Amino acid sequence: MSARLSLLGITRSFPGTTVLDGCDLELQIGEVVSVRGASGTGKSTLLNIAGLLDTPNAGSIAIDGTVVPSKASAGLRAGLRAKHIGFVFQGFHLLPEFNVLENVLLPVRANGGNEADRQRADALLDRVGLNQRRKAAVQTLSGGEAQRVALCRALVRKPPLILADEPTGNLDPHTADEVLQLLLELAREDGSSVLLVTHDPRIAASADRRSELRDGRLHDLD
Amino acid sequence: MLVPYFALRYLRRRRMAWLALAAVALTVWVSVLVLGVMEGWVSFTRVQVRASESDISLRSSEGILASRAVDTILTKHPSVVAAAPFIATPAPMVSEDRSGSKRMIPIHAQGVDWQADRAINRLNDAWLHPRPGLELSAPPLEADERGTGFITQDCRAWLPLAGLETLGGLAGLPVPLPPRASRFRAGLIVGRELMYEQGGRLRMGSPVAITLPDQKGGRLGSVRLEISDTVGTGVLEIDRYAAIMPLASAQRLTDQDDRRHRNGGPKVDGYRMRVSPDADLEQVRSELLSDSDLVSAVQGSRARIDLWHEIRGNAVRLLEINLRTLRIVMIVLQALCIFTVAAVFSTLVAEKRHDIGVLIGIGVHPWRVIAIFLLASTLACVGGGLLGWGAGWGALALINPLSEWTGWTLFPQQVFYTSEAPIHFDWRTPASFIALQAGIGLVSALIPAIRAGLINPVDTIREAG
Ligand SMILES: Nc1ncnc2c1ncn2[C@@H]1O[C@H](COP(=O)(O)OP(=O)(O)OP(=O)(O)O)[C@@H](O)[C@H]1O
Ligand SMILES: [Mg+2]
Repeated sequence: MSARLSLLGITRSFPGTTVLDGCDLELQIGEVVSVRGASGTGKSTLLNIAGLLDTPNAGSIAIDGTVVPSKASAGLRAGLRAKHIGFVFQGFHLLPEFNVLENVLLPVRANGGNEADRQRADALLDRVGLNQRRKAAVQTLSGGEAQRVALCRALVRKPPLILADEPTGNLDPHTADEVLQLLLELAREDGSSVLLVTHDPRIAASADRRSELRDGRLHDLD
Repeated sequence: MLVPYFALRYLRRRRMAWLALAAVALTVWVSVLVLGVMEGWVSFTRVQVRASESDISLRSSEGILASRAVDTILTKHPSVVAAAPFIATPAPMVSEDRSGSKRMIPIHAQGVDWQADRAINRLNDAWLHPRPGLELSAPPLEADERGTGFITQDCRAWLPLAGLETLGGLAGLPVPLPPRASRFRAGLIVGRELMYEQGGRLRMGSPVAITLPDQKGGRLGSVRLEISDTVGTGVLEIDRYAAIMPLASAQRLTDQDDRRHRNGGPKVDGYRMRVSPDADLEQVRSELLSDSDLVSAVQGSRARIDLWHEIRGNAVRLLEINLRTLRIVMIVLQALCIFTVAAVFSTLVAEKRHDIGVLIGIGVHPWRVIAIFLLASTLACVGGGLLGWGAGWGALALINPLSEWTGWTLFPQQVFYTSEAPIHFDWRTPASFIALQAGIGLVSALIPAIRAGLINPVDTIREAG
């Protein structure tokens, strides 16, 4: 069985620095892998590449065993993202002009979702305890609430691969804990694989595998 | 789904987008209003010219025998509604004022049959004006204060008395009557501007004489007439030169009354015809020319048939050129919206950079992002266009009531013999502007939209994070 996501020899350099240097990663179906690393080591860069938002200078990416062409167009990569990947970012990145439910339904709308998707959005908001605020403007949400909405948005279409980049960086430790537990719980229910950047050792402990990004490569910690 | 959803949302929530809409609405409003009035003038003039010259006319320089037969042959054609005989010739008119001084005025003498001419829509009530010298902005005059057609004032005053006399005669009771003028002159209808230009020399009841010289220095014919009415059509050549007299007077003037019994009857210069409005004039002409009855009736007279626009089309063409120029100006005006719309959408895209980054990030194809902004700008422009259309027609409908209410007239009555702005509602004008605006919407948002499609989600995520 092929891995959900495999990165092979990923190299990414910016003018003056090489951030990733032959980085490898295999993420199995349903596996949760945590990544930690000092600031500026390239964790976000790695996730952007894994999420097909950014293209590496060298190396190959395969999703479910299918190699993404290195010259893939922006449109093709967008299509693959829509099909396979859910993002949770450090910032919440909700759209200010839309209410809570509309934000959650964004991926559904973008991909012509059906009634089942809508029910799932409702169920997810229930799970994160925000069903009462489904019509609320997102500006009125607290940080924790906003991140939970972002979580629902990432999960609404049951993406096989979830990429979470320090999703709790802006939250207090207690709320951060809660949100991450929720993320992992929901991901496990759907059988999604998760690549999670976090500094919190307790969260990292609940991952199937822990790794650290150092010198442009991932090193297993277990 | 996503594209219209976002396009409508951005249009509704962003005041910015309303600016584009307002700019387009204003431009279309102005264009619809201006062209509506201009088109009104063109059709007004076309109707005036066409009616004064009639739709088509059969004419011959040698004269056509004035017989009922020609009349019947012409009206036999299914498209010819009515025909009226006429005589038309330039001539000098001599007017004599009270002190006996004479003045010669060049005129265009016309002889017509009153009934027949009214049947082809010439000499209609709208053109036969109340007596000159009265304030034009005064309310319309009663029927008996108007000009009296070919019947002179003296004759009209005497007519009821003549009726009384007849009645009295029948009753066997002789009633004393004032003595009747030895002979009434025929009435003459002159153009209103001609009347004004003579500054009081010519007025209702003024006696005039028209004499036509022949080629040998003698005179072909001469008539004495009395001004009994005026005609004002807004068409310069008529209002300035026309002197319309009864057909019999004109026949005497042009020596076509067959006094010498050489021609086998009185002649006319030709026949004017009114044609049903949907008829193809060219076709009517060729059908009439191949009518064997007509050919034999006008045999040897070198008769030909002219269409109205061949004789007097330039009056209309002049306005049409103006209309065309205005249209070009208005199209250029529409094009100015490109800048407003482009500016608005550049700003909108800049404002929504983050949204766009997120959309592309979650897997929306860049083409669909481009489509969002193109659709939004097209909708704004078409919406603005529709608004401008409605407002434009509303304003057109209000022009005349408003000018009546405020007393402020857009067009001087003295020039066109109507203070109303002739307005014309042609849906094709606003529709073509809206189509143009749709194109402008697409073109002007193209560059901002493509910029939006090229936004790199990594950048926007970093910016906001
Ligand atoms: N577009 C870019 N141009 C130049 N340098 C860049 C660019 N993007 C990232 N970098 C550099 O690459 C390095 C890695 O950045 P990255 O954001 O991946 O770090 P990180 O591990 O996520 O850090 P943090 O924990 O603070 O989020 C940094 O030194 C950053 O300055
Ligand atoms: Mg980072």
